[in-house]
Amino acid sequence: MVAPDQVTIACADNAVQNGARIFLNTAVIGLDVEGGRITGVRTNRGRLRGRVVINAAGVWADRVAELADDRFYTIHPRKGVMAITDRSTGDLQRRSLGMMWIRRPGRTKGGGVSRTIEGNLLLGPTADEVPDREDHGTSCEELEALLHRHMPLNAQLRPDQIIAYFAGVRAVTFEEDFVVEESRRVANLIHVAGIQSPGLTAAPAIAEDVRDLVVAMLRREVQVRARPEFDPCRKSPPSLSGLTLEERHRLILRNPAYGRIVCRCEEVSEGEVVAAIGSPLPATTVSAVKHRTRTGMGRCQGGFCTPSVLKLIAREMAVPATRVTWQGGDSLMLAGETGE
Amino acid sequence: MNERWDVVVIGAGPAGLAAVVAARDRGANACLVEREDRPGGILKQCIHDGFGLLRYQSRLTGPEYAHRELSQVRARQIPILTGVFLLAIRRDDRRFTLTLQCPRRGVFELTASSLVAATGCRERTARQVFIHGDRPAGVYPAGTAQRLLNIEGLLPGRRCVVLGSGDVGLIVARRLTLEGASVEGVYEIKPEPSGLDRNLAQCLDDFHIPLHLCATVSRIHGRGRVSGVTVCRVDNRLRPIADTARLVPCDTLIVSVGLIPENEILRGLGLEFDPRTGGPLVDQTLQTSLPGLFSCGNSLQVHDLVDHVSEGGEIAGAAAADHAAGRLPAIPAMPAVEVRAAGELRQVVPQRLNPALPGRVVLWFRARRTLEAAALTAGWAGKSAPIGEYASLRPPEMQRFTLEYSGEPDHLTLELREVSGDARENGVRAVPA
Repeated sequence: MVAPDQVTIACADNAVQNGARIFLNTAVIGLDVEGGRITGVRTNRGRLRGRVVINAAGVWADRVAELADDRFYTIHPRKGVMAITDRSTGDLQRRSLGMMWIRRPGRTKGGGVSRTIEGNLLLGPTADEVPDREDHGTSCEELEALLHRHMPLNAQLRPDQIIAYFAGVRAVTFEEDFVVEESRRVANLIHVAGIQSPGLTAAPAIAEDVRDLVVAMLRREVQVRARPEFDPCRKSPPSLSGLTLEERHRLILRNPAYGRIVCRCEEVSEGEVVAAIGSPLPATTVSAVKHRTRTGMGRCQGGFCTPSVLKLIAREMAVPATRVTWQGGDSLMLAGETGE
Repeated sequence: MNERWDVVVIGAGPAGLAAVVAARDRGANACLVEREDRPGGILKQCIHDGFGLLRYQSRLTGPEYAHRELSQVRARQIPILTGVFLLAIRRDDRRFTLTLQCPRRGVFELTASSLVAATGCRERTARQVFIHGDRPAGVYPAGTAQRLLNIEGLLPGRRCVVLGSGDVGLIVARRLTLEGASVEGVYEIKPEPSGLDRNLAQCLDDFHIPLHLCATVSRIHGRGRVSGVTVCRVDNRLRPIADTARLVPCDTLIVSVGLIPENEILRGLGLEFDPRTGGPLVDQTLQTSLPGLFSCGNSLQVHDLVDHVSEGGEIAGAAAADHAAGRLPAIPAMPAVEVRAAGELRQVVPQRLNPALPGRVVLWFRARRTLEAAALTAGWAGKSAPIGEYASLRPPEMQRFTLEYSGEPDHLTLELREVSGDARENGVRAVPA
């Protein structure tokens, strides 16, 4: 098993290490198409040019296709709600459990109760068609439906062991299949759309297919050769939880910031938070630091560590704490300073 | 540094400070370990007053109260290891071994004959009371908001709704108002507020902040920052009544829905817990079911007055010193002598008595519901004796009393009964807090 967010983060860091640039908080608002080619990608932060454009826009992929006048599929959002339990429940089961009765053929394999690599139990996901493509909220009814179906899989689980619940939206085509292909109408566009379950499992293979498509497309115009300096290995920064006590001891003596615990529930140190903020793709929001280091993912859900994480981001980024956001955009954590 | 101690106290909040002083005064070689950089615990951020009315007969702020306690520790030159995080506890050969880490020393160990766990509590989160909707910035537990305001000098929001009428939420509502933020209202799902009367008066009434009972927040709105919350009334089973829902625009939701004793570090040691308090089962010395391990403060049970916390710390610290010196009589090998809560009693601490220790016993209890007039009786082996009568009892107000324990090996049943109006007229006396 892997932690899906850690896999994604590792890939992003590795891409940046190898020269890719990632523009966050950048929304595509239009595509300039001339003579059957995309000549520019218009965003809220300016215009980008590329020889090849890959449309991997998830739940918005069909809208992006439409901007290129090449919409031959439709994405509809299918929401999945999941709940996660306190780590102390990790001993209640060692394996992932699924049951025939929660399968919903054609829509989902049914989820189940699985053990995360950190030792929490993960219930779900559900699968419900929703109108809103960014509906990441939950409702009482959705959570009750989830618990009703999944909780009986492990008779020792109780609702009060749940520390968090959340939702994601799958990007589903009406054919219930992946779209991984060159555009037939636009010469330099590749669609990677409708990637739903088993999307994570399939992602490495999809990536290789897309690479081949990109290379073939580029070779029509320019020479393409392998870069000898390309390094496919990304070394993950140290994490206290993965170290023996002896290794932990040596790390702290080398860098005392690893001795200062910021998140008490998940035992995350200042050293880890600082490393996340300074990673190849910098984690500059409270949510980004959370996903990288697990600060705030424990039983207190950030009650104790949020002020410390906020201050560390402000310090490392040399910005006032009042500028720090939860996850970019207008999600400011604070309204100002006291005594104003 | 000496790594071998008679008593190690975990946590330098008010309970731990009182415990380590009491342990030292009984002759123990004792120290404190604290994960934060400064001692004082949660008192550091409690800049309002009202602390110390019982213990010091004066109205102190949290930092002032902490300072008084801390000066007792300093006067005895008791070591306080700050910035030290406890990773694990194991018990072997009747001693405790603590594995700790800190920036200066890396990972290291301490051993102790007795351990006092004064680890405090954490806040119940919005998710634990099943609040739904979006997940924007601007949802803060009350204690987190209090720390941002009082320690960091940062304002969490300008237009706030408070969910839950716990004391921390009420105090933060006032603090936000004083900082120029507006508090739209406090929503409490139960028919009665869960904070102390004095906080309801001084934090809400004095600042014209409305308190809505039988009402809750059913949904959070906002994609970036909170843009509003849906509030609604609830029925008598605490379920939302759909057609009462209304949107309250705000940029912040402050959540004050209860505190949970923090004892996770003890879970692997195999001691018994009380599901009603969330803390360990203890006897009159606040010794847990694991000999040599003592519990006090908010990790034993959530208190509403720090004065009671300090008293418990003293009991635990003194007994921990006695245990380390071999002076504390072991619980005789016989079925445990239980303190049973009956009638309108919700919880009582201690839950056990050690019959080898006759003498004065301090007990704390909470009522199950609000009672206009109530009487508490103690029953031993079929005999029952009155303990006290109360003019009014509310669940948020913990009561303390003492009784003389003869070493009776039979269970003690404490019963709280509502007293009829007739009995009240026949001279019910209020027992001081």
